[in-house]
Amino acid sequence: MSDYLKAIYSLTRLKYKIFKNTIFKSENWSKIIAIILFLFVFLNTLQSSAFIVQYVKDNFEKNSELFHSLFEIILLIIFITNIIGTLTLSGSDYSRNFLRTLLLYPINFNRIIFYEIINGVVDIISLLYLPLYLGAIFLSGNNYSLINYLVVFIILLFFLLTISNIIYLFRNIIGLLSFTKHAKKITWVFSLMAGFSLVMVLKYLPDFLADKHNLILVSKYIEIFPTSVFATVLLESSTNFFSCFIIAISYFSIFNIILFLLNIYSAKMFKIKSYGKIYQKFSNKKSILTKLFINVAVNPFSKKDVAYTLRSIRTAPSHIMILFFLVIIPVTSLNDLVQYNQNITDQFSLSFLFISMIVLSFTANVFSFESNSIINYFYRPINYSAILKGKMFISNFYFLILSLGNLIIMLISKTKLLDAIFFEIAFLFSYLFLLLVSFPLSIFFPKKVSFTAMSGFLTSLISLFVFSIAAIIIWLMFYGYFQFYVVSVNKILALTCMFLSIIFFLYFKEKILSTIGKLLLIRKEKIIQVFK
Amino acid sequence: MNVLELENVVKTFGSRRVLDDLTFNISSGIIFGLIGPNGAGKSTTLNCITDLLNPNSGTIKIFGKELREDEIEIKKRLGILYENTDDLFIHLKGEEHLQFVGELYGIDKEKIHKRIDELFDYFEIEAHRQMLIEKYSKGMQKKIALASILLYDPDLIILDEPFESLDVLTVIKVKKLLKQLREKGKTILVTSHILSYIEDLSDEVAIINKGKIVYQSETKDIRNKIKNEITKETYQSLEEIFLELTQQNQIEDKTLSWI
Repeated sequence: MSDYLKAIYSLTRLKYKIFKNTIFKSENWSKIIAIILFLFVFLNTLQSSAFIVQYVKDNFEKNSELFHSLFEIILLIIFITNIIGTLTLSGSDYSRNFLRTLLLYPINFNRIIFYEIINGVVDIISLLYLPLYLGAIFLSGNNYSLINYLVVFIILLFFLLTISNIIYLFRNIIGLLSFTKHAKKITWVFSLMAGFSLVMVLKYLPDFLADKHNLILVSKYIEIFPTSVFATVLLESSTNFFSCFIIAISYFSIFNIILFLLNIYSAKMFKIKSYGKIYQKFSNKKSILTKLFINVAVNPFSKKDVAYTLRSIRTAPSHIMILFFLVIIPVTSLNDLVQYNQNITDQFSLSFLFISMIVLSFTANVFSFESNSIINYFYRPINYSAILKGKMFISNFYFLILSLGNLIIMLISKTKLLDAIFFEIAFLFSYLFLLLVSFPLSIFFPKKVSFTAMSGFLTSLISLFVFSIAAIIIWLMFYGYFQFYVVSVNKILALTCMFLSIIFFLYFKEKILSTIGKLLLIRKEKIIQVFK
Repeated sequence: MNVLELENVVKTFGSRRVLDDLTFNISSGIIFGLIGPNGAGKSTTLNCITDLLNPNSGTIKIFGKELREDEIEIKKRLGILYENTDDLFIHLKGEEHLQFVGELYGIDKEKIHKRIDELFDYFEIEAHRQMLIEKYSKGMQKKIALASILLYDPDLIILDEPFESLDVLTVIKVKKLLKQLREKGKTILVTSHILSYIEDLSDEVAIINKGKIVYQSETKDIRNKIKNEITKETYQSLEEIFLELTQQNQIEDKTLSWI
């Protein structure tokens, strides 16, 4: 065991030094924003956990038969969002590279995996979820003794270790999937299934859980989940201390050992796949993509982006978004034609959400794919505004599909012509505004993303934060203007105002792009540094 | 006429002065060898010439103009091979990458097709035309990077360690090709750690150390000195000049305590 502790100590020191060097390398104002963002998210999590505690305390009697079930379900939801949040928000590129480097040194493989899992517990994302789990202790409302608190704390550590083990296992499985021949197909199928399930869950779950019998039924099904074991410890340890402790310790120990063994196995497979040479039969036939690449007459940088997008398995969820638009929008907008005004706002909100995600994916970190080849953008004979125009290609394409889809739906739902025009102009205005926000973000907060990583958001957390604020502002602007449009007597005048704002954008398009291009020129050296 | 002129170029990284009033010129139609120890400022010089770095002061003129005066046109006539083939889009196939470069430089489609066919044949990588560049070996990546430059036939070619990772036959082929390009009037700036290649290829040689040119001479002068050894005049090979000027001649005195 002492060898394991020594490995943990030396690897922690190594990671701390890497972290310190990364922080000191970034610019001061970027550090300040990062700290503010961190505090914001941390305080927000604290507040939401306090809110959940208060809400449940106010609405459910501790002695009611529903309390236990509800408690377990809340913990499970937090648990699932914790895992999804960690998988999607933290890049897997860093830990993979770290693992690859470590494997070159004479450190026992199992110890590295053990360290990685322990490290995952103190991972920043897990820390952000910690207040929610701590909130659960207060929610249980028990009068614990000091020993009770100690036991709960030990079980909480085991519980966090389980989460870390599960996240690590997911990462390994995702990494292994990316090496398979059918990785792309698997991603598409998985994203489709996940998206479809999400729609179904959002549609039916609230009604389903409104019935107390269902609530109890669900809690029975999830009894073997780690969250339910943790919930039982919290709720019953004050009355049934000894058996609770023994059951929980045994459960978490066995569960963690199994997960740890699975992690060692999957990490070994990952190592073999990433270092083993794969000999494959190679065809020199031109693929459809190559033929398209050669024959389509668009900016070569755009063509390259399309080829990269279709070759990358990471961007599949963005494509899926556009497919779901075709399902969700008609369902919501055609549901109730009587509530006409409300309908069009809902429709706009959903389209706006999709277009925000697409802009965020494709232009808020325009150089995410590049790695060393970033230099092509700076030494080739092309001006900076042409690069930006080329970079809009994919998002423009999606925007056109979305706005065409909206138009068709409005025609089906017999929307008035003026309203339809208003809607389309508002949509175009929002899209252009979001582009204006996203380009400087990609210039000031570029983030290198691994081409094969399936998880890991494309943009940096700071970009995501700034972009979200901008998106909320533009949505509120639209909403306010829409209310004005609905009550205004002269609708054509209101429409003209909106139209003029578009003209403003289009008239100054070149100037705006060249200004952003100048920003790119100023940040050139920094951007190259990030990617090389 | 000078194709490339650097005058008092200064580039600092924080408090470190990497290029220190660097000044040198390269005239048209020659092969110019730039050598220097690691960290001497070779790559920084090339990055400043190719607009990847902005010098703090000084002027760089290419074809008699500063880059900002006519950026697009100057860049169209400039070809650069980076040491680590950094400019390759590794998730494109070999043919796609050349197509991409051809279109960037405004060559018409038919010409691109014809040249791509010839280039794949010349570098003997025809079988890997439809393969992703990330799966190429280091040598093949170097070949495709070289092919990308030759495709648009630039007037000034900058080659950073062009022979690294190449097999002997390809090295011979490339050396012959560079001499042919010089005959056609192209100007070539080449850096290499293998001094014999520089001595063999270049018309002019410069040694850079600590961000300054410490030696510049026509290669024939060095060769004359070698010839004059018979007449007992002072003899210095390029290697000896390099060691002397970069103060690396004490290398032999140093050793490692445990060896």
